[in-house]
Amino acid sequence: MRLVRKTLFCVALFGLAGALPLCAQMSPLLPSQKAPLSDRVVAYQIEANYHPKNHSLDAQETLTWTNYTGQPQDRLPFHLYLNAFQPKSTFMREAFEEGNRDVPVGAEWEEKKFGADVIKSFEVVGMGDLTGRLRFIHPDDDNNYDQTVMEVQLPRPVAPKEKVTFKIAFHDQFPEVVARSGYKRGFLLAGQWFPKIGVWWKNAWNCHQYHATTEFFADFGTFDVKLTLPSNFNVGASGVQTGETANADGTKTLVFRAEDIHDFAWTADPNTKIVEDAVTISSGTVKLRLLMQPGHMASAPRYLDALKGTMKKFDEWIGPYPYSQVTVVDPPHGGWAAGGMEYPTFITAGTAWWAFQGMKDPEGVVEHEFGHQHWYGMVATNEFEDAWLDEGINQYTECKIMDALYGRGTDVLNTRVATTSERGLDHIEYIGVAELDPITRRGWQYLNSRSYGGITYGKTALALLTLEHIIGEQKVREAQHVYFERYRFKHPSADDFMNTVNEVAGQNLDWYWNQAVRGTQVLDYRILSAGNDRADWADKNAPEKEKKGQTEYLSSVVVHRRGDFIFPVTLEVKFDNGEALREQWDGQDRWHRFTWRKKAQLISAEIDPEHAILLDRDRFNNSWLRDPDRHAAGKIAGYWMLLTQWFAQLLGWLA
Amino acid sequence: MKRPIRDGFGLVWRHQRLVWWIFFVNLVLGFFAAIGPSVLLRPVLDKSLYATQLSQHFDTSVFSELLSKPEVPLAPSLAGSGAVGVIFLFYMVFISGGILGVYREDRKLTRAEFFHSSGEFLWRMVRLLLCSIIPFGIVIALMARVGIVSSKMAADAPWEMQGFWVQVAGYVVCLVLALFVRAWFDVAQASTVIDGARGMFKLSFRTFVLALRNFHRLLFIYLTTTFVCVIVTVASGALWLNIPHQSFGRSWLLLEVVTLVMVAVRLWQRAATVLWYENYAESHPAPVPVAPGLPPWLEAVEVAAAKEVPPSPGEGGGSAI
Repeated sequence: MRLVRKTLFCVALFGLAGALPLCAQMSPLLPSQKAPLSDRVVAYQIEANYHPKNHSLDAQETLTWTNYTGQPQDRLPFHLYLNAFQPKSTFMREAFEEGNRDVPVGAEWEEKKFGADVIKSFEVVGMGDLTGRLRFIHPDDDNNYDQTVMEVQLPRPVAPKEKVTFKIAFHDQFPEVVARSGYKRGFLLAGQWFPKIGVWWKNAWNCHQYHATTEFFADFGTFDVKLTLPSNFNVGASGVQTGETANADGTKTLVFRAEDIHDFAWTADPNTKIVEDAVTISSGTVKLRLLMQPGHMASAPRYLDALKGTMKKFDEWIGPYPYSQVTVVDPPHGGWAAGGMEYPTFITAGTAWWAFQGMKDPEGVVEHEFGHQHWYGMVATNEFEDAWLDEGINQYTECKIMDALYGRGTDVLNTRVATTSERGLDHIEYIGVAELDPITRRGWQYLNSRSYGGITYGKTALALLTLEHIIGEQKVREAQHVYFERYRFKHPSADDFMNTVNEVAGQNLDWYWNQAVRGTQVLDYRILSAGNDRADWADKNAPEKEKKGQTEYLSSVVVHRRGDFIFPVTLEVKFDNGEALREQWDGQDRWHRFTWRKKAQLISAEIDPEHAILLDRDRFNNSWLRDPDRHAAGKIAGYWMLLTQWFAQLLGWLA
Repeated sequence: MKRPIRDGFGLVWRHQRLVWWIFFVNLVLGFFAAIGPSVLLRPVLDKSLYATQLSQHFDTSVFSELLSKPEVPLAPSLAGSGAVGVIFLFYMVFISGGILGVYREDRKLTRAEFFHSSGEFLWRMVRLLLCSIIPFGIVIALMARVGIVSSKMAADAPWEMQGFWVQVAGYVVCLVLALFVRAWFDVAQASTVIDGARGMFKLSFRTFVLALRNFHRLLFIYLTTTFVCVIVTVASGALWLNIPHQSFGRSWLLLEVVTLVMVAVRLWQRAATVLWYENYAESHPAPVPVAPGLPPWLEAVEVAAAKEVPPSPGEGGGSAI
């Protein structure tokens, strides 16, 4: 609380002294960075006028695109993402059939969820008005009603390395917030709000329709955005604010500049309170700007602590953050669909007035979304086709960083009653869908949104945690660092990531990638049987009574590979004389029997004693105890009994 | 005149055998309900080192993992627990006559007397239970409505906590209504046993008027007793939080004490209602014949009741209204 009060005081002082000149001097990149950091394929200049009364805007976009494709181009695709929020769109159809984060299966269409991105005019400088040449295409399905991708046929091709400038007038109608875009009361999150050109990738245009589970893909460039809106609105946006003008009609125009990013989002809300702070990392001092809901101010220090801790860990483990600012948006109550989303230099978080300290959700969301600055923001993978490269790798780093910041095992929930861990939640998500889809499946081709989530996030994180067991935690971290350095401000593919890991590990891990990433094999090892038999069982003169330390036993454990995933495993066995042994098995056969002849009895056996093979679907069957431990079952049955008694009391109260 | 809360507690204390007996039945039923899950869980957990994640502390993701195992189909056990709840409900209905008989007589009934009283009033208690379904159903529907409205407010109202406070206020109103309905039918049960009243539907209506006219007095009894229960539960909850996960035995014992208190508080409510009704009957002797001007339906009931109920020794007898 002290930090927030102090920061608010500083903000007020800045306001009094005139913060605008300071803003105007601010660069979107840290001074340590040598611009340009990327190819800057695109340069967007947008002037938008927001009408809060009907949640719409009118804008003029000037897009300059440089043809780095190496060949002449006369057909160019554009995303019109907001058109997804229409009843017959592919997004809504998929969401209706299979559900997604925001739309439950079978949900009824609500008119307030309508969104649109309408092109009013489309001119290509030097080629004239081509509005009449626009047509909607649907490269992923046969849905003629989907209007999330349009294509323009140019009268003449754009030559390699030639620049072409588009002047596009458009009108946006925002939906009540859904899938990271829209309004809630006075709040607006403007994400995917402008016509955005597709990406030339793998020698073809890559411009997918907006699907219920997919995210986005775009080229790097610069953004100069002027937003005009009522003067009482507080605004946050990608990049930095470089100017502000008060208009005579009670509105103001804010100017933003962003460089070497591939998307631009902004938010406006008359109610938010602004909290500012800074963190110093290896690349310089980064300004942290929080736009908080008034009822959520208690979460501001938590957001800041999580953000600072995360930024330092990323700086230490993965690579530097090159931008001068991070903006964090706290969505309002009822606007959770705007929360937990990443845009370059701009993320949305999520909390509630009742978010108690032991519940690490606010911290986890900030960690995750900031992680996307690296895995998506800079290493700009194709979120349509390789969702695991951003969401999955990011989920893995979330596990590592949340473990480091909040303790392994308690980094989701830390109360006296119960605890929950990041990796535990990932495991839960994964086990229900383990064999349904491979990680490398295109985002919209998963069986359903549950499988998409469980595989893309959960399985990928667990696969990389399990990889630590093969090549070591340090090597995985090093591989991530090399991958980041090599592919930041580029569009790497799945093979780029796996080849980088192979290279850093100094070994060909294709046996693992083929099963864990490209395949749907399930990993499940179990103790099939275990026990002790007297070695002198056939000796008629052997004493009947067993003597500890003198009687010899033949002990055995059979380890069974239940799934198709072949993985080398370690077996740890313990004997009643205190001896512990570790045995290795390559896991190739279906089962393997280990035997020992000792003057001691086997008391326990455990596969994967380090608990490092997190892809193992069933971890209850990984061990065996000679003497049953009834505590866990007794505890659960005991609570079951109590809950039943209370339920009976409740019913009995009616008598 | 007896003081219902204080003297009601004395009744429960003097006849605490009833508390122990009901608690014992509740305990045994709970035990039977827990056998199913125990049988399912033991093969999975007893020989697994991973189970320490549930015994040494409680990792919710590990518990979810356990529930997701096909070897642990707990749905039938849930149904079993539901059935146990219904059995307990009918058990309570069955012994209601006996319980109220003990509190009316304020003496230890023989087993035969107790069960005779239980049996004598059983069908009337069942009919009262059926009559109470309607008002309790209305309260439950109201609670559901409060939940829906407050959830919508939590998302849409300009003030974030509006939905929460509407929910709290709504649930408090529902609690008061539920306590009123409970008091109303407890009075009806008391009337049934003390006056030997018949015609449960009409009795329900009559006791509704009676409970409504004495709303504040009855509510005071029920809120006070409920408050005691809440205090004990909260205090026990605070204690429970400080018991290490490994010491489940201590947790279990403590929570069983809470269960015992719940049983006792419920009987306290019943005893207090019996006393309140006796006081009321004493101070409002039945007008026989019925005073002119009363509605015809009430006249008919009272005449019938007055004819059927023999006066208790030392009492004027007659129906209450």
